[in-house]
Amino acid sequence: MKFFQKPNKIPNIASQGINLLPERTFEEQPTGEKIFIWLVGVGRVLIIVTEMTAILVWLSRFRLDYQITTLQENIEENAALVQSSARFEETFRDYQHRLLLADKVESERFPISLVTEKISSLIPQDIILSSLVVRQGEIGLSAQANRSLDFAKLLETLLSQSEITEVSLQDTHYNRDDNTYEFTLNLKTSEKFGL
Amino acid sequence: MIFSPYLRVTPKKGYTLLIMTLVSMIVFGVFAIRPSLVTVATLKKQVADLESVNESMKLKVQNLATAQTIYLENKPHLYLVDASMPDENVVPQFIQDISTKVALAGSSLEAIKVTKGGKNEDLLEYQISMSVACTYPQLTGILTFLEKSLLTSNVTSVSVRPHQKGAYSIQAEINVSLYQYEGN
Repeated sequence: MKFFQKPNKIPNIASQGINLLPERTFEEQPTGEKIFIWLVGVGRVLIIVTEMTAILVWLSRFRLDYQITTLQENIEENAALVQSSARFEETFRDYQHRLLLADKVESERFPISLVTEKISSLIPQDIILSSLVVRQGEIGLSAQANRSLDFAKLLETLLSQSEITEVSLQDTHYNRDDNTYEFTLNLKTSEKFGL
Repeated sequence: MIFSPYLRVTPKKGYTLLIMTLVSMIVFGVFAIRPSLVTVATLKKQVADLESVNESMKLKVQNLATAQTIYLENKPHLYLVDASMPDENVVPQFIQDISTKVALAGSSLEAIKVTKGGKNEDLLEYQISMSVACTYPQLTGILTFLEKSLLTSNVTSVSVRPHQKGAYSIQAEINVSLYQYEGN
């Protein structure tokens, strides 16, 4: 019976160095300790803030990308509608333009028939017209009157019209042969004359 | 580079840690946070631009719908616009109309002269001068006809003097500005 068995080979520990002092880790080094403290303090906060920002941006990009996609789809849809109505739009704009032009011409239109009728109604029957020229804002007439009273009556009638702004007698002479007065009048009228 | 003295001596240590913090903040800020924020800002601007475009398109579609309704409501009367401002030469039609009118009124169209005027805002102007032998009521009728004509025109002046021959009492020189649409 064997109580003790001799090892076949005893390890030679005498040749190995023994270090009883614990090794100093990086954190225990004077410089490393300070850097380590900074890293786990300020550095950690900085990294967390940076990562939080990056994550927030990453998440917000999802929302923004979704919005962009939706908007682009809507725009494409509406653009197709607008494109399909292009011909109608052109027609509509053309009519609008023509109406505006017609309205402009209409607003500048001179109511010549009304003006002619009005000036004719102001001339007494005894006055014989030899010429009448009607333009916008201006009327010229040459006539003859058998009596000076008729001429005076015409002048009085013309001057009583508020729409006639100016009456100028251009030429007048008395014809002794047939006892008539020949005269030429130029009238300036306002835009309301005849209306 | 040796950091040891800067981390060992207290005041220097404080400055060094502060500089490290600032440098780290700048590095993170420039290389990590700034590009992210720039990306977000770019995307936000893109969204704002697209929203603006989308609103404009929506408004345009709405306006087109309104325009279509107005167009359909007024379609039965649009022939008047075509007749008053045709995009073809209006002079032959005008001469035909006035000749018919003068003949029907029992007057005589003795002369007609057409001068092509200038173009203003898509409107080409023709100046028409015509000489009509007629009576005073006939002249009034002709002037009223010209004023109520569907063609876009403006009687600019009328000159009347006694007529020397025939049954007509007066000779009228009528000047008309006639407009033709040249938009297309």
